[in-house]
Amino acid sequence: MRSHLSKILALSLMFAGACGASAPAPEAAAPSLRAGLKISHTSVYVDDQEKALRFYTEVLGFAKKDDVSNGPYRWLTVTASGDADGTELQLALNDDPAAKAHQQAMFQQGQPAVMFYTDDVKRDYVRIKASGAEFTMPPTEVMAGSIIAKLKDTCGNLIQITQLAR
Amino acid sequence: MKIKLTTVHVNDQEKALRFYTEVLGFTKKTDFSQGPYRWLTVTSPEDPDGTELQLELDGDPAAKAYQQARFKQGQPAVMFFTDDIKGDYERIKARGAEFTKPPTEVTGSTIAILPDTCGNLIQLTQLARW
Repeated sequence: MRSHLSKILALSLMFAGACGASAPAPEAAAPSLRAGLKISHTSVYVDDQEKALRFYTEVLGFAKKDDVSNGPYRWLTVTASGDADGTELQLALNDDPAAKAHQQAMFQQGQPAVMFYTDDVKRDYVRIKASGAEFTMPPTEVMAGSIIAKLKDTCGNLIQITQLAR
Repeated sequence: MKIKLTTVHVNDQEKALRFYTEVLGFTKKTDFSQGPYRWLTVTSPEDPDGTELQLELDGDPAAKAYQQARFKQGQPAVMFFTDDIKGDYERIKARGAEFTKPPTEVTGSTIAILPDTCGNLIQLTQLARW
């Protein structure tokens, strides 16, 4: 619980706003010896976290991982079912006007806000559709032999599911 | 279904590739072009089959407006976790990056923030050990 608390505090800083910044280019760059940095989270903005949690778990089949609140802020994540230590998807409440404008534009342009990979897009399509989701694109072969499908997450976003060509 | 991808919009993919590999220390994973479109990702060298970070060209006006608003508000576009934020800070700084916030203890964790030179702020986070 304490590690959850530290996580929520660290993460709420991302959305609390910090200092303004200029961005000068770095100069010399040496080859990397190590990268201690982990790419362990991605996020999607949702207009209703409770509804999103239901959709991402009950319809898509992910499992809830973190759910910690601090005042009005709620840190909520899911992971792939059976991969609890894998990359977490944060379901972030979209209360920022700039983020909302971006989300709406992406949706109107038919651009997915988040993408998931699968080994069998047709199987997932049938399963997710049977759970009541609305697809805007059924499984469709695109360039390089990959198959993609798109659906609404009911919380303001399009989701793309991608099966890469073998 | 697997969660294997996160995305950051950048205003120059070549420059971003240099920054994310040579300065931050990630490794290029996929680099695939079709016409003007370039699909470019990096991963952690310690976990090459792990989650990929896509460096996507910021060609869309809505994405650009959002990126600029976040930057002005001091909000990071992407966050990475580390077990050694001070080591990473020294290493990244020695490669020429400029931090807007050096490692700073906040309740429960230590964070640092730096610009990625391509339009974004990046937050590094080390959770406190209890």
